[in-house]
Amino acid sequence: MCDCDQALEWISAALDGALTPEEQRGLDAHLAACAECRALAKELRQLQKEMPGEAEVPAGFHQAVMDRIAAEQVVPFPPKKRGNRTWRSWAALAAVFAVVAAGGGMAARLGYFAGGGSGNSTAAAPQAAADAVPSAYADVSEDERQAERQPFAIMESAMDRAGTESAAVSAAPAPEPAEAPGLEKNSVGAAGGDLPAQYRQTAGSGADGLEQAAVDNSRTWLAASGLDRKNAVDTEQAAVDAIDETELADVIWEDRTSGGPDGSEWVVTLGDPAGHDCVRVVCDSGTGKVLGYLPVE
Amino acid sequence: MRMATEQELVKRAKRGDPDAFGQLVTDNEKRIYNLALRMTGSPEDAAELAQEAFLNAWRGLHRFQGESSFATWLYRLASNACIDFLRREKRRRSLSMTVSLDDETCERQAELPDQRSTPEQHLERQELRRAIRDGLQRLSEEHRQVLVMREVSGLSYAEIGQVLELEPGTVKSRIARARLALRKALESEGNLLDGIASVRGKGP
Repeated sequence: MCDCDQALEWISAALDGALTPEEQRGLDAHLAACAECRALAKELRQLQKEMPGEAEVPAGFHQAVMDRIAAEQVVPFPPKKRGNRTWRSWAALAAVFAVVAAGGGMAARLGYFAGGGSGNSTAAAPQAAADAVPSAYADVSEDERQAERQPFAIMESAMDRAGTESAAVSAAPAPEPAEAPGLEKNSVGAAGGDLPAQYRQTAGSGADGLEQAAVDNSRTWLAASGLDRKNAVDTEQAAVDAIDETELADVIWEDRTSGGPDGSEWVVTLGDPAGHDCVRVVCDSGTGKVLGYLPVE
Repeated sequence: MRMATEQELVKRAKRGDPDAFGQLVTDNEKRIYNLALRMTGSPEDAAELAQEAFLNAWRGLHRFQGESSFATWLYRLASNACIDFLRREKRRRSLSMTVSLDDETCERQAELPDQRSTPEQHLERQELRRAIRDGLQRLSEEHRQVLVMREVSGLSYAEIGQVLELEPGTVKSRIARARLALRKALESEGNLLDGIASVRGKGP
């Protein structure tokens, strides 16, 4: 480095008050001998003095940020694009959720379908879905009592292709486990009048309790979240869905201590996604713990 | 004390508390906005970029693990967003060389009237300030970035090093080169050197 290059660094550092005494002496000595660097030092000092200061933040900036943040969390569900995609992915799973209970001391049951394998059917008529799904169903007796204490309705998603129908909720007596060999069909037609038939699908033993825990945890999370529109969410409506890949990429993780995302997470939808406020909470399918949430655009 | 407050706010914000995040926005918005303003030269672009920086911070809050202060982390997010924006813009404008530099009507620089300066000198200083703002826009992104961080945001070498993940020594020499580049940018404006000379000339 030639002297003037070194002097430039010293001149600059001097403007920032970052010279050691030794460097200061070196700079002084160089400036005494070099008129060019003396001129440079003066000009750079002048430039520094006239540098722009901080402008005021434009009016409305803060509110605009906060509005956008609020819009991230709980919003009326569709924009169409989002709504359609979501519904289609549900339908593609041929997921028809079970069930159940709201009146008359019936057990609330939460359906969950864990696997793919239903092809790309988007016309998820209940019977078609029933045909498409494997017949692994949980023993649910353990969880019946627990569910009974906190009954909730669950949406089923026998949506048409347009995805515009709202979810149907129905009530039916929870079937006894003993009566559930193979595919289990709740006799909603009998119990619930004209409501479409629904099916309960569960991935394995014990899944129901976890789903219940995930829903409960999601409610607790929502209540504690401080979301300004949380009261608009009808938490009586809950649905549990296996997360899909697109959703996985969108998750806002709050808790990664449980080993990070692996695609086995659940999405708990609280509220009515068909037009009212809803929130989509991501839970660990192994523990039911809340891991994060999905922004709804 | 200040740190504890920020940490507590971050903790609450991570739990989804928008009020806590709102306080973090309040604490940082001026610096973030001005970073974007001096990087882009456009109040509109700056407002949009700064908003996005906060939004991305909110979305990515879980990734912030306290390895730096929240302010530094946020500043880095915003700085990266500015660079991305400028590169996109450069590509977009590569066919059109017209760059309109926004007239910053909202400029609020503390302009203490200099009792000793004549109206002419005052005008020259105004002109010089405008030239510096414009000159910043002609610097390379790298040079503009360090100068804005140092001169507008008032970050120390160490802080700039943290944001840019550079050694303080590298920061120091980059700032020196950036200052030299700015001076050259003003020289190429012709009469600006006269402006500097005459302003300087009145001094001791």
